[in-house]
Amino acid sequence: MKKRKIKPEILIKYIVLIAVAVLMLYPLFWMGISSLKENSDIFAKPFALPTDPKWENYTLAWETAEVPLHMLNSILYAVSAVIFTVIFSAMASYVIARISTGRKIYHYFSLGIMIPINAIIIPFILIFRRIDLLNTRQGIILAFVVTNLAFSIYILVPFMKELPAELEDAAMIDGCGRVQTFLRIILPISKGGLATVGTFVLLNSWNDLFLSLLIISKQDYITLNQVCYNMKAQYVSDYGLISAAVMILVLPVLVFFVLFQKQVVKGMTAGSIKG
Amino acid sequence: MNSRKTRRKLFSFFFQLPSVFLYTVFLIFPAIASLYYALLKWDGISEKIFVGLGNFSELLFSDRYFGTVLGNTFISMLAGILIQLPLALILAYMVFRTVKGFRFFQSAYFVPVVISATIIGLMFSLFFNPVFGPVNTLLKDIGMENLTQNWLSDPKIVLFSVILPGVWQYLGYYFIILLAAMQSIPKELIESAVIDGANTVQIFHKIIIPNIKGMIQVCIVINLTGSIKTFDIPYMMTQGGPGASSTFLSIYMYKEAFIDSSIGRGTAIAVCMLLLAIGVTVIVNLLFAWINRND
Repeated sequence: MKKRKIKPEILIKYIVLIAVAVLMLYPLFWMGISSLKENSDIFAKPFALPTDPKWENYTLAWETAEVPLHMLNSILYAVSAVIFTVIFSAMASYVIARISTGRKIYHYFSLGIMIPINAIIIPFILIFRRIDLLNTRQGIILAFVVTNLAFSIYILVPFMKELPAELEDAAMIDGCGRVQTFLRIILPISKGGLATVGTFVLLNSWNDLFLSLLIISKQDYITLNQVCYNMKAQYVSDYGLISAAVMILVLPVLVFFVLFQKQVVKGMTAGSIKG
Repeated sequence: MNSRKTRRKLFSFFFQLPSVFLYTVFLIFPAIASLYYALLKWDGISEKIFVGLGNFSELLFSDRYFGTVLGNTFISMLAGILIQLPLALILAYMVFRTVKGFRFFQSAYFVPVVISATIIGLMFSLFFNPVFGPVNTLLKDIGMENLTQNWLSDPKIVLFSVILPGVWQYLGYYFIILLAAMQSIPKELIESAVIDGANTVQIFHKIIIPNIKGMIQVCIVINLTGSIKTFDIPYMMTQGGPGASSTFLSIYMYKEAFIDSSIGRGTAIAVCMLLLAIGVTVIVNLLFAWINRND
């Protein structure tokens, strides 16, 4: 067999690409090895692999961070936000895209994607205080829905405009009402767009810290990210414990990413698609 | 016939109602209210005092920290468009022209993006801890002890320490967007350039760049407005300290409004944030319109 010579520039390219991959993955890997080590080991030999895996870090982190309770909170808030945002934005988008074809109302919603929540947060929180939504589960869910609504409509309307009219017409001729047509025809054929919006809302809500810090302070209601925030203050020198906690929080997300990679990328980069 | 039209109108009304209502009450109304609150001296409880543009002139001309905060935001914007985006663009091009390992690089670079910024902030505060952290230990181990720093408490270095994690985390985000844009360029364009003997660099700036210009523009806008909003990572790592040396607009606003109860001043900072975001968006779009016209 003749050995093909590798061109030097190709070799350099791969070295660079692999070096970047290492830079991207190593910090997580480091958290992984540290989560199985004693603190003294982490401080003295931070880059050594664990010799005698200390799984107690995980049980300790699980209990200290009260993972089940707060993970349930995070899941509840994010999933509820996805359900409500998807339903509300699909309903509005259907009307805007296929019935009234109102440009005005679409522009009205598009305005919202230019307003970052950070910039209007003060009156936002004051309203929440006035109507007693601070420190409630409904409050944080509502906040997630509201902050994602405009953007969801912004992507769903162009998507729904592209749908073929035949199915819808056939359903109407068969005597389906608007509501039935929406439920039986429009929603199923909009799966792709709805999935993108859903993933987008899911990740946004799951990753939030800003809104949760402002809306929720009751220990029973706080999210995983808030737990992280509190742990940092309390256990800053307990590297083993914090690393294990980080791994517990990161692993489900990584699994989700690996399973639904295409969907996740689409949802996260939806911001760059022009409507 | 008439009743069908009415029914259609009723349907349209009720289907849009939840979105329009929530959006108007909780987003548009606060946006308008912000413009009003920014003109007040108010602690949120006692009587509101109207001070006109007083909060703004105070921030701009006599505030101890606001200049630093604006400067920090500006540096973060520069880091984004001068370091992060060019790196993402080059990496995307390198991976775009790669067959072996394409899928691997694509996924590996995106991993940090899916993790919450809170966790990234927590991780980097461990890395940069001056006593226990691996960064200083590594520097000592390789004999560069003079480079060890108080990463999170030295006012001269802390800004770097809180900007770096964000640059690192979202590199893959821009990488993926730009890579996707490159993949949507018709293959024939690139193939014919190769046949004409164009080299890698020529293909990059004669074919790739002009064809993904629109996406680069979008990335620049997302990047700049992202820098203006940034909160999670620096708040997690230093809470903006020491002093205001790692404070950005969102953090400053948060502290003023919700810790010091200066609703008026806090809102004025928020309005500055909004104006800055709209301003840079307009400037970037004008700039690109000008570039496109001159092509």
